Amino acid sequence: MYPLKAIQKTMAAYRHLSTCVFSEKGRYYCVNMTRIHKDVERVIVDEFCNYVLSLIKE
Amino acid sequence: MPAKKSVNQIRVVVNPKLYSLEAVYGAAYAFLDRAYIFLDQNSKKEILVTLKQKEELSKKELDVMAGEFQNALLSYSLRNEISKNNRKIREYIVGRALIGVLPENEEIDESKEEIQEWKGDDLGIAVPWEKKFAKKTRTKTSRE
Amino acid sequence: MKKSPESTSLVHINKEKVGFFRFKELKGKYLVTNDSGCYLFLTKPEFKKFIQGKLDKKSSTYKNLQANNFIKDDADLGKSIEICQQRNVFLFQGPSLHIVVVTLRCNYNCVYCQASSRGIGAKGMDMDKKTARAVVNTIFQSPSKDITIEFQGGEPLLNWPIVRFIVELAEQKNRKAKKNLFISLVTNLSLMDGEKHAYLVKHSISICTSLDGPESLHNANRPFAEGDSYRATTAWIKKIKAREKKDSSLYKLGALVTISKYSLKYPKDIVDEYRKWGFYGVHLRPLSLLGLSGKFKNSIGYSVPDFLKFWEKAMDYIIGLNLKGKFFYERGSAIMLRKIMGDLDPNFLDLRSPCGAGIGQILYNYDGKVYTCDEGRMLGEDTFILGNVLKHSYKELVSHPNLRVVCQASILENSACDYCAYKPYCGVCPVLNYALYGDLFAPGPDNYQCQLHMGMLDYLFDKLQNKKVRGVFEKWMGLKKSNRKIS
Repeated sequence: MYPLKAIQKTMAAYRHLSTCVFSEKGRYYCVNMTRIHKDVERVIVDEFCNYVLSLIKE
Repeated sequence: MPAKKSVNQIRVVVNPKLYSLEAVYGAAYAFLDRAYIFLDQNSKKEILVTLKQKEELSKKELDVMAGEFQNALLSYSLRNEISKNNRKIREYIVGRALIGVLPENEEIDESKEEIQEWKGDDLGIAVPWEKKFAKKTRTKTSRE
Repeated sequence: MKKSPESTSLVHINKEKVGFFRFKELKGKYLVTNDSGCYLFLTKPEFKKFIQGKLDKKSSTYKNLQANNFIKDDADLGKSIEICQQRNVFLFQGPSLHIVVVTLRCNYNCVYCQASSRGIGAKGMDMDKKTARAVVNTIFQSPSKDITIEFQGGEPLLNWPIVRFIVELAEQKNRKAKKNLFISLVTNLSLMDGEKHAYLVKHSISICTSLDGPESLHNANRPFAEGDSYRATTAWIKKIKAREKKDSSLYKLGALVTISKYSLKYPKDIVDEYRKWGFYGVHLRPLSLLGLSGKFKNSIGYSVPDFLKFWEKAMDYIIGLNLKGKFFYERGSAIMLRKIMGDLDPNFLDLRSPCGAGIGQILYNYDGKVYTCDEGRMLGEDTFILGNVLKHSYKELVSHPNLRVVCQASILENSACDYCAYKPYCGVCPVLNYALYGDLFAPGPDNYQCQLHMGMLDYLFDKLQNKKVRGVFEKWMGLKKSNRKIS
């Protein structure tokens, strides 16, 4: 569903907001986020997913 | 398409035999400003699209959003079909239009320096149109 | 709709009859556009018949679609190719607009200053002769047969000797180069005097100033420590306009307005102010969000919906004036309308694919640094630099990887924009995307510029369905009769 390249680009774009660690688990790509910036903790996961989708269209 | 509701979000189940993944991406893109979108796939290979509200929405408004998403899926399916059916003719028109602006019998001079300059151009942006759409009558250059 | 057994698609399109088009639902109808920039409005039943290939060939709908290159098996390919050429002719012309920042010093303190100008006493902010000479030499290496040199600042009149030097050197070089040379000066007019004006007239230099609206609004946006900026500017507007009346061969004085938060309550007043001073048009520009206008966007900025509300009120008022027989136009819409209603691209660098950065315009800063465009300079950093006129040749400048990257980032065909019905009439600014989102490509339907353009185009297309308003727009274009066969 989510191309790897788009996920990697998003991780790079979000590096100033959290530490992202990539892994694969079965059929899924996993992005583990730690040290999340306080201002975005509520929304970062949702925004991350949307950002990946937006890159797919580019 | 069935839609399943839970608090703050609604899920639309998409039949991949009717809607391409491209159409799903297109529709999702159109909704990025209104909702958080999550994609998944179940064991039946159906595409599960979850729309999570960004702002407070009533149950009715969530239903409306799901309906609009389904309409967007139809629109993007149509767009993809139109694009697919007309790709070659569009390329032909643009190619002929751009090459047509160049003067006749123009020799394509590819010096070593110029070839060097195009290296590193992984996306091929700098590939001249005259290379891509060269007329048969043009003089072909020889590379060293 | 019946699904064919082999087809996985839900939508049945007649592949032989339906040419390429984009579409959008607009107030209950379908707006269809194509690569030729043609457009039509279809009702829902007409749209359905069109995509199914079931339109009656004798119907006016079919005839309109055919005349505008929407019917694949009845299309004039030669005409499509010709229109495509006309709409993209700028690709082969080379940079024609050369912006020269002769000084970063300014005597004003505009709240939205895009140039991040410095105070009048700042040192080391003026272009010197050596740099100016290198700038002119570089400009004349552009392959474009049309060359526009536009002086900007700061306030360019603060470095008047270099303005004169560049003008005279350019004229001298042009005697041999024989380009269509056009020179313009952007100034707040506060430092204008009789001698300078006479020089500008003698050398046919076009003048453009800023007028933000009635006195209190203009002064709020453009504070001037030495007095009243409105009076300083309008004193010269009056003189120049008086001279224009006596000599119609003179270039008409231009004026631009920048809309800040303070302007939003005065759509009609701004238009009336321009009419009062004898202008026949106004360009209602939103904040660029670059330079100071980006830094202080929380205090002087506004949301896109707020700007569009203001803009629509102003447009309604302007259209109303025209319907009463008083000619007046809004320049930003006129540019968009020229793309919608005509086949020749107006080559407005912000509304094309790719944008004009580096290939349509180049900016030369006071210190010799060369930028892809005006916006690249306004960012206030070196991200969009191509080199320096004192160190790099023209070829080195235009071969810089930054230029290719910006070009690529503004090609609409590479992005989600390619699905948008408004794609033939639109453009993106990678510099603005970078400034706002940290990304040249800045995807997303909530993109600031996308929302602005979308709102304006929605309004214009809605108005185009009204015959009387369409007639007003045609007058703005100088078209007595549109060359498109639309019923």
